[in-house]
Amino acid sequence: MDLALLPLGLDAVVARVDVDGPLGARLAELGLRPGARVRPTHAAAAGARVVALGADRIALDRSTCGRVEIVLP
Amino acid sequence: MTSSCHEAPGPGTTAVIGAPVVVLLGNPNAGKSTLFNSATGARQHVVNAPGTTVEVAEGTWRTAHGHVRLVDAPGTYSLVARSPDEAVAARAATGADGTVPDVLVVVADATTLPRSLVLLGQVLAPGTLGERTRVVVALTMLDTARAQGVTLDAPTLSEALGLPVVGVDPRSGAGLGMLADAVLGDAAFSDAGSDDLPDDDAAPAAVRTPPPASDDAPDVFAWVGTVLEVLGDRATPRVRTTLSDRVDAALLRPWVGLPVFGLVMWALLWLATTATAPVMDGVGRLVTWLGELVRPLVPGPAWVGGLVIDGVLQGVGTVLSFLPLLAIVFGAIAVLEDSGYLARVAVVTDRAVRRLGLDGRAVLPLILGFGCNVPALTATRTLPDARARLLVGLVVPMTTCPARLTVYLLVATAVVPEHAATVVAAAYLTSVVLVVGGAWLLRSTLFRDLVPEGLVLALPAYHRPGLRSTAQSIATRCGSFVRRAGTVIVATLIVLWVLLAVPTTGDHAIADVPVADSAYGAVAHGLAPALAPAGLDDWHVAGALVTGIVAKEVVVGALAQAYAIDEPADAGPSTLTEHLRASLEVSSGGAAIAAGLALVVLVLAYTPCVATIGEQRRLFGTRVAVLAALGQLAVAWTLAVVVFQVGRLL
Repeated sequence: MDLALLPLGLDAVVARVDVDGPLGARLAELGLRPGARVRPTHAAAAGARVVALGADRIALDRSTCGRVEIVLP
Repeated sequence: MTSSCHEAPGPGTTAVIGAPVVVLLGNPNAGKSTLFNSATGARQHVVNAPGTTVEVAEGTWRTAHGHVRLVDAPGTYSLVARSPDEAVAARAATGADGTVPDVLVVVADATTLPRSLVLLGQVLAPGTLGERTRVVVALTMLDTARAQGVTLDAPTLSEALGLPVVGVDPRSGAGLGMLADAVLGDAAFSDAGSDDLPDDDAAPAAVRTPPPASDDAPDVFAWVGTVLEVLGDRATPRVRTTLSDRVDAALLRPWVGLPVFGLVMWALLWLATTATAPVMDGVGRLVTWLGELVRPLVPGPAWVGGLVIDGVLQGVGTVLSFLPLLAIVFGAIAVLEDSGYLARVAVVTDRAVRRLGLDGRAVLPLILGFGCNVPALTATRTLPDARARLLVGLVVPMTTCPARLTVYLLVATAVVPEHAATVVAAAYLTSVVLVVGGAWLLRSTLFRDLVPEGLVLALPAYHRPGLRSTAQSIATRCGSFVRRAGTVIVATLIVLWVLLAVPTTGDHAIADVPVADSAYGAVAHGLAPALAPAGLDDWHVAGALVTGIVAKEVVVGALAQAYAIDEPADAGPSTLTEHLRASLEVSSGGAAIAAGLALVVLVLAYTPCVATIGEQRRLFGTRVAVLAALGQLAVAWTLAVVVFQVGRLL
């Protein structure tokens, strides 16, 4: 299951981030790494989503969300 | 970092020779710049980092232990730079720019500690910093963190990291004294480590020792994980719905977010035009009044008075007349940025500009440009990436400001009076096409490195912007405009005055010469043939276009002056439109409408006003400003020729 399909308000754990290069590194630096607990909090334009990592809120476009594999805890 | 490529420290700047160098490093929105403003007050200036267009603020921090040279590096998530701004931050932190900091203050946001620890982990890795650089952590946002259930405090984090950690409130300045103690080595660190923490001997080695020196990022992440494990729940708040979340629930929906953004943009445009017009006019009148007051007092021949009043004072007046506008726009931008709203704008408008390799924040300066190009250029600083800033800064002058509107109306009324409104609407549409087309062309050629990546953007919580830091930001940036853009404006106006004052034909005294017989007239006569392919081989038009480089508002006045008639009071048919129509009939060989439309396109696209060029120079350097002005001139000439040549065939 990927982050784009996770219903808003539901918690999940990141299993794999299939994003290479600088963008993948930036995601990791922002905390979106395997093992991180995430919760999509908002849906935005064009399929973008806001994801909560603790008190952090990170906006991701639909394509990036689709490349973050998650598992339900 | 110690000097700019444009401006060396000197009188008026705040560099303190021999003072310890302290660099502030931290994530964007961690409170770093607010902390810098609180520490330095008015003793600061903005410079470009050497060889870059990235702005860096430097200032003097007066502490109880003596003066400190404080450097506010751009915000970054990582020392592995992914943009020119981040490269500047990394170089400032590591001393790779030639100035090794004595102390590196890592500003960590307590609400997003895991993110800040990644940067701290990279900083602490062996070999990253110079041997004599000490590291101090300034922990911000503690109040907000406590409200979110984070019980972490500075002594606990200090105990866990083995580093000096000081809690500070950047807005009020609370904790700055303790930070100064820590920075200058006199800190008495709390020995009141939390009872819940293991003692020194039992603490995990990974916490007591820095992360391994390695290019392998997971090593740093592992170290961060260990630190967070030691801190436990104190440092990691559970996800809870915040006020920001509730606001975002509305603002991030396209059908709410876009209209709200439209309203905000309308308010900004209103501020940049209607609201500031009376103040700008007032400053203009004040300068004129002062000039007339001072003129009789200037010794020597009349031309000296002319040079002082109509050259220098007029130039200074032009610079000053922009200050109210810039102060309002700087303030508005600072409020939008500090409040956290701009990040939401990027999310809402992201898709619209993604194809240009930009993110949604580029929309703000481009829309502002229709109000005035100068603050629009300033607004490019809201873009986090220097290359993106430059790309947007190059196309902003293609947005048609209201100053050009008077010229469109004059020309349209002269050649197609019954369709003047259509011509003006077409000019605005052409402007949008030029902005998008220009951005696309630049993106496909000189800016191919601007690869559109996915949207990954940390959204800061909404904040009430601090009055003091906003005022500080306005003062610093206005000062920078006066120093850097102001010199270009004053110099250009003096040159223009000289051209108008020096006779080249006839028996005239200096500063008492008809336009046609002045050096200005000679230049206009010389330039006119270059406009022949656009059907504009007329010295009145050529001269007015040269004057338009000073300010588009004066094109109509310059035409009236060249025809030796009064400037029309409104945009309707007048003696001036008749003269212009007659000139265009002659210069175009009977295709006045095509020539008129070519003139509209030329005014729309050619070299922007000198204030805009000055601001481009301030932001991007002299070379970029000159090349951009010449590039626009070439584009405008080409477009005007195409419009005329095609138009006269129709």
